[in-house]
This record gives sequence, C-alpha cells and structure tokens, in this order.
Amino acid sequence: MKKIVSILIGAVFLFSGCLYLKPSPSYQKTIIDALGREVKLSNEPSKIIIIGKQAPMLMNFMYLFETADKKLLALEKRSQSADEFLRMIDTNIDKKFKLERGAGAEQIVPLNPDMVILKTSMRDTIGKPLEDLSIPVVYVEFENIDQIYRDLKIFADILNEAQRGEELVSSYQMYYQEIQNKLNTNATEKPTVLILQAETEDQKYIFKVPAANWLQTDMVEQAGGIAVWKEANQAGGWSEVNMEQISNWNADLIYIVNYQGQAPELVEKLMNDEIWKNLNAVKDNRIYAFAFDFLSWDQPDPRWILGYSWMAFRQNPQSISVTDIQNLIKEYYKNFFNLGESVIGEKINPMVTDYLN
Amino acid sequence: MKKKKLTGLIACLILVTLLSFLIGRYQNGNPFGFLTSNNLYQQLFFQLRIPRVLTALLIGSGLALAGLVTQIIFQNPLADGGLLGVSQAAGFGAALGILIFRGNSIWVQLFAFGFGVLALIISILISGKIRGNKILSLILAGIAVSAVFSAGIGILKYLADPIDQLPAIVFWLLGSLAGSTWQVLIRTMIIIVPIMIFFWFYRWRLNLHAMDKEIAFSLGLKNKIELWASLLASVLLTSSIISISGIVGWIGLIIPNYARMIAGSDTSNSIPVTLLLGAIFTMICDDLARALLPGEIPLGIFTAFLGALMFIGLLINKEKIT
Amino acid sequence: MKSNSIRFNNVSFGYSGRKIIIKNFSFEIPTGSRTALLGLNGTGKTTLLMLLLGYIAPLEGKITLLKDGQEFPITEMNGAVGYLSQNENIPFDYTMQEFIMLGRAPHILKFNVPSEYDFKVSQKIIQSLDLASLAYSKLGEISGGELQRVRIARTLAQEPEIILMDEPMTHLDIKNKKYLNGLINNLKETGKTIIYSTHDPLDVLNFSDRCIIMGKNNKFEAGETERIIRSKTLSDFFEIPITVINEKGNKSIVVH
Repeated sequence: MKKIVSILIGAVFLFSGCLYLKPSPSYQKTIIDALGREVKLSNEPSKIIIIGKQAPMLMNFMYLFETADKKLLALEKRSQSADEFLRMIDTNIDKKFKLERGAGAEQIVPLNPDMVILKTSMRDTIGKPLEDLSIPVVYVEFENIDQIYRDLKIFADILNEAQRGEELVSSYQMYYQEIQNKLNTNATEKPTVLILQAETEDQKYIFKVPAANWLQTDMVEQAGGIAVWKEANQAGGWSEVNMEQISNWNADLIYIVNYQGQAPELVEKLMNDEIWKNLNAVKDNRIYAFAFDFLSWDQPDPRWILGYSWMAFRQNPQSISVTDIQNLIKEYYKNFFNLGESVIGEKINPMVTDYLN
Repeated sequence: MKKKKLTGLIACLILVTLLSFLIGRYQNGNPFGFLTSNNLYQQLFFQLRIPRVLTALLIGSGLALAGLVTQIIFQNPLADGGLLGVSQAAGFGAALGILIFRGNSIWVQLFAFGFGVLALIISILISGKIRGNKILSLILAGIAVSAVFSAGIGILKYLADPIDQLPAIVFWLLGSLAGSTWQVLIRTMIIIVPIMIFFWFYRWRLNLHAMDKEIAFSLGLKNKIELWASLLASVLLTSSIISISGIVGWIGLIIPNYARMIAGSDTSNSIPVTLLLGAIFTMICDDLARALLPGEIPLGIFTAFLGALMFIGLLINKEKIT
Repeated sequence: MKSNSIRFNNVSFGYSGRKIIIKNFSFEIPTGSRTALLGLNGTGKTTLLMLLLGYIAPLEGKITLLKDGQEFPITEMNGAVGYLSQNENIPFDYTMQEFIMLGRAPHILKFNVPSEYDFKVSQKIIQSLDLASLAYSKLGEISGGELQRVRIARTLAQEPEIILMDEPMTHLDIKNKKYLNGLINNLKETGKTIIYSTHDPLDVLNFSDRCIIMGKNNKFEAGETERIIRSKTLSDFFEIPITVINEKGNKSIVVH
C-alpha cells in the first residue's frame, strides 16, 4: 500500500513538474514603427486607442482592416464628418468615442489600453508620457505614398492581418498604375496647377498653399501637372498667399480645397468675382472644387487614391473620363471598405456628383 | 529750419506712397500696366493694391499718433497706444465680435473699442489698489490685464477652431493687412480721420498733459475732461485699427521717439512728424510683408524687426530718451 | 478806496481719511504784497498753496478775492493764479522757449496754437529774466538755477495776478537766492501778489513784508512780518528756543 501511494505522489510531482517545465503559449511580436522604434508586444493588441492630430484619418486607415472595430477601444472626438462615415462602417462606433478632444496621458491611462497609435508629430506632447508609463506606443506618419504603404503594413502587423495589408497595398498600386498608364498613352503638355485651401470670413478670403513636401503637392505632379507653388513654400504647413501672388502664377488649373465641404459654393463665388474673372483658370473653366465625400480627397487618408485619380481626370480630361472615376469609386469602396453597391449609390455618389461635373 | 524738414518728410511720404503702389507679387511685365488694358493687373491694382497701401498709410499714422498721445498722457516715452492692456483687449473684443456677429463689422469695431476702454479702466482700478509707486503699479496692472486678454484670444480661437471662424491667431498677435479692401479702408477712415483732425487742432495744448498735475491745473487744465477725451480718442484710434489689422506692435513706441528727435518735444511739432513717419514706416513694412516672399508674412514681424533696429539706433545716439 | 485782498473766511481742510490740517483759518492778504508761509514740515504749507490755487476745495469756509468792492471766489480767477511747485518732473526735453510758451496756455484757445502775440510776450519775459542766451537750449542741458528761472518765466508768461511758489529758495545757492529775492520784489512792485513757502525765518525777516506762520494743532498767525517774527512766536511755533534780533542794521535769528 505504501509503495503505491509513494509512486502516485511521485507521479503527481513529476507530472506537475513537467507541466511547469512546458513552455506556456505566449504572444511574441516586435513591431517597427515609423520612427524605427522597436515596440515589443507580449499579447495581441485588442484595446487600441487612436488619438491626437489627424486621428480621423488614422481611424479611416484602421477601418480598412476587418478586425479593427473589435480591437479599437477608444477614439477622440474630433470633426463631424469623419464620425458619419465611420458610423456607416461601424454602427457601434459612438460607444468608442470616449475621449474628449485634446485628451492626454491622464485620460488615456485609466482606460487601460494595450496600444496607443499616434502620428509622429504627437510624440512630445502625448507619446513620451505614455512611453514613460510603459504603454506600447506606435508612431505612424502616412504623409506620402511610400509612407502610406509602409504604415498600412504596420497596421496589418498590429492587427495580425498581414494578408489584408498586402491586399490593400497591391490594390492601391494597381489603381495607381492604371491611371499612370492612361496618362502615359496620351502625353500632352502638363498644365500648371495651383491648390488653394480657401477659408472665408466676413467676405474676405484667405488662401493657403500646401507645403512643398506634402502629399497634395506630390500627387499633383504625379497626376501630370506642374505644382506652381512648389518653390514658394519650402517651409512646412499651409502658407498664406495673397491675390497678387495667385494672379502672378495664373495657373492653368486651380483646385479650391475646403475642409468644411464648402468648396463648391466658394468656387461659384470666385467665378463671379471681379478679379478672379481675369484669371486663366476661370476663363477656361478650369477652377474646380476639390472632390469631397465624407472627407476631402486631398488628404493623407485612405481616399488619397481617389484624390489622385480625380486630379488626373481634371488635369488630363482627354486621357481619363468621368466614368473611369465613377468606376474607381465603386471598386474602391467595395474593396477597401466592403461597401455594397447600393450603399455606394445611396451614400457616396450623391456627395461626389458636384465634383465630377 | 523746421519748415525744410517738414517739406522733406512730406516729399518722402509721397514718394514712398507712389513707389509702394508699384510694389506687389504681381509682376507680369510693365509695372505701369494698369494704365493699359491688362485687365487683371488693373483689377489688382485698383481693387487691392491701392487700398492696401493707403490702409498701411492710415494705420501707420494712426498707431504712431496714438503712441504719442499715450506717451504724453502717461508722461512716459516708452508707452504706446496699447498700454494697459488696450491692444490685447481690443483684439479680444474684435475676436468676440466676429464670433457673435458673424461678419457684421460695425459690431466688431464697437466690441474692439469697448474692450479696449474696459482694459484701460480695469488697469487703472487695479493700480489704485496696489500700494506704492503709482507708475510702477499702473505698468504692473497693465501687464496683468494684457496677459488675461491675450489668453482670452487664445481661448476664443481654441473654441472657434473646428469651424475656423476666426482669423488665425497669428493674425491677431502679429497683424496683417492681407484682407484690405476699399470697403475696409473707408470704414476705418470714418473713425480715424476725425480723431486725427481732433488731435491736429489740439496739437499744442496736448503738451499740458505732460506737465505735473498741479502745474497743468494752474495753466488751465481745470478738470479731467480734456484728459479723458484725449485718452478715449487714443484708445478708439488704437482699437479700431486693431480690429482691422490685428495687433501691430512697435509703431506707437518707436515712431514718436524718432519724431521727437527730429522735431523736438513740443507736440505741435512732433505730431505732424509722427503722422508722416508712422505712415512712411508702415508702408515700407507692408511692402515687405506682401511682396518679399510668395507667402504673406505677418506685418508685425517687420514692424518689430525694423522697429527694434531703430530703437537700438535711438538708444545708441542719445543718452536720454525724451 | 478799499484795498483789494485775498480773503480766507473760516477755512478748514483735511485730506479724506486724515485729520484736519487747516482749521478755521481767517485772514486777509492784501494784493500787491509779498507773503511768506513759514512753518515746520507737515503743518500744511503746501496745502494752503493748493487751496489758494483752487486745486483743492476747503471742507468748510471759502477763499475769496476782494477786488474793487466786489468779492468772488478765488476759483474764478481762471489762469490768473500762477503756481511754481518745489520740484517738477519734466519727462520730455523741451527747449527753453517751447517750455516757457506753455505758460501762455490760459490765453490760448483750446484748439489753437500760440500766436505772434504769444511769441512776443514770451520773448519779453525771456529778455527780462536774462534767459535769451538759452533760448534754444534743451531743459536737460541747463543748470538747476537756470531751470528755476525758466520755470518762473513760464509762470510769468501766464501774466498772473497771483503767484504761488512752493519753497522756491530751498535748493538755490546764495547768488541765485539773491536774484530770486530781487525778482520777487520787482514783481511785487508791479502789483502782483506773491505767496511762497519757506523754511527760513531770516529770509522772511529780511524780505517779506507779510507772513503766515503755521504750527501744530492747526495753530496759525497771519499778518505783518514785524509783528509775527518775534522770539516768543517763533519759539512757540518751532518748539525750540529762538531769539529774534530785529534792529536797524542787524536782523538775525539765533537758535539756541
């Protein structure tokens, strides 16, 4: 009897010892972010927070992925439009807007996230304090096409959707190449192009040009145009220009960007303005409101490809047609955001018709 | 001697004005093209450039005059029209006016003036409560009031930001004439010109305010009416200018000191010179602001830069600033 | 002919929140005289001058001018009362000529500039005070004594009937004091009424025909110098033993 008990006890010990020695299934991953930092993860992120400047655009990129809505914990309340689109994609999204605008480490920490995604420019203000608290922070940039491809792969890595990441990048590249091909077949003289962000107060207009190294500037040139403001705005940011400068450039084609969706109204007003009437772009009817559905298509946002294609259409109407763009919109929203044709027809197309005339 | 200097300055003003008319980012061919059929240039020239140059002229003399009057009244050669928080408060008032009365400009100017006067009164009241040197306590009160309204502008801008209702905060803090039109010019002239006329006729008697109170009393300043009239006129001048151009600094401080260097301390001489110099200086600064680079540079950057250089020149050349 | 005079009728004054400095002052100062205000610091000399100027108003009583049988408040003098403070803060560097011209203010309309006549008047005064050589000098460049003269010139440019001066002698050297005394006497001869405060009883004894002596607890005496500047009075008001010697050829004050 004693023998059997000791063998049993020994077996128990041995067994538990073996259990103890067996390696526990753990999640090991290292993400390299836009700043080249190595972010080590010990579990798959499922409580992700996106916050800070341009968070709406980052959110839009995130929602390209299937598992995004389950893994996003909290978002920051910012502009109206972004919320409407995302609400269409994720009906539960309102519950996620837990953070007030301008929230910082103090508001973030109590939510106990396992990852915070920020733009690189937010490192000093929000990022560093979080890093000091050992919360995994991943920085992304998305400021030009190469960065978009790179940072999408970072998101794919975070969400463990590597295949989807590859899909997105190749789709972008495919659409991009299609447009490029059409442009190359009908090589005509490149028009001079001016992008102006327009705001109006009290009957006065303020016009700004984008930075020389921004996506907008890059896309104009890649869509077959000459960006007249390039030498002028080497400094970062939107830079104000006055009417004389705009007249001096007298670009063949002018895009008016307005982030409140008022571009079409502004274009109409400008076309009737005494001074603007004399500009080449107005005389030739080549002053366009920059395309806008829920967000303006000129920004570093998943819609950049639409912006690029639309600009190619405007700058080279003989090579690219309206139908091309309409088809692209359908393909794009289907592949990228999984929207059905009826939804696209009901929600997206009406918003865009003004910009396709 | 004095007549020659004055004529020289007037000639300088006319010259700078005419040259400024020819300066701008639009440089397609003949600078005199506005006389020909280049319609675009004509439009730009007559609708934008001329009103803008004239606005620079007007606000330059206006701010310089307000600076001079403030220096006399507060008996301090280092004061300017925005003393005691008037500038920041007027900026705040104008911003508030824009937020509330979207686009209705008479209210913007009224609010600017109202808050300018408010800042003045608050500063005076606060300084009354501070024990000790009167001038020092006025300056301290002014710094505090100025800071409060400056923060106020920041708050308004933050609140209005998503919809972008307010001109960039840069506009308020560094000034800009980018939005100049005939309409704005005329609206501003309606307020500024009468005030200038008032001070023109008052230009000799203003000296009395630089005297000690009892002396001034014995010489005929029997009550505070003239003092308050001058002070309010100066605040009105400053705040209506701020409501159209944002806060443009240094003009009110440096120009009167230069004017005194040229014409002496008697305000009947220094006022005309102040008006002329202020106009010339500001036109030159705005020429640079709108034409030096493709992008608009805030006016205040040039007035500060050139103003500071002139200030250093002043300090080096004189032992006493009077 | 009833003589013209300035009258204090039962005047009392105290700054708000503080005790009464001047109480029940009643006396007359004939016009065309030279009156000195004597007294320790804090007894209200400057206050008295301010009341005469009209800069402050009495709490009780009134100060009037009796002229050719008519009596009217001194505040209606309108620019005919000139004032010279003890020290003056001049923040801007006027030329002497510009500065003196300021004295013409009561005669120039509010929205006018000085006229040819104003220029003539100030020139005359500049000449009479031997200031011609300094005409274009800036105030910052001249000496203390010269500045004093310039300030007086400004006061005279007012063409005042009454001239008030707050301790005009205090910072002057002997030479300048003599000059000032002479000037004051000349002004008196032309019919102006001069009232000034001073610390120096000997100066009063030597030059002023009238004086007002002020002491603690609202004490005062006013009248002819001969009568007031006496050993007992001075000792009383100054609270130290003083002997006054007032004989022909020998006037002196001895402090024990």
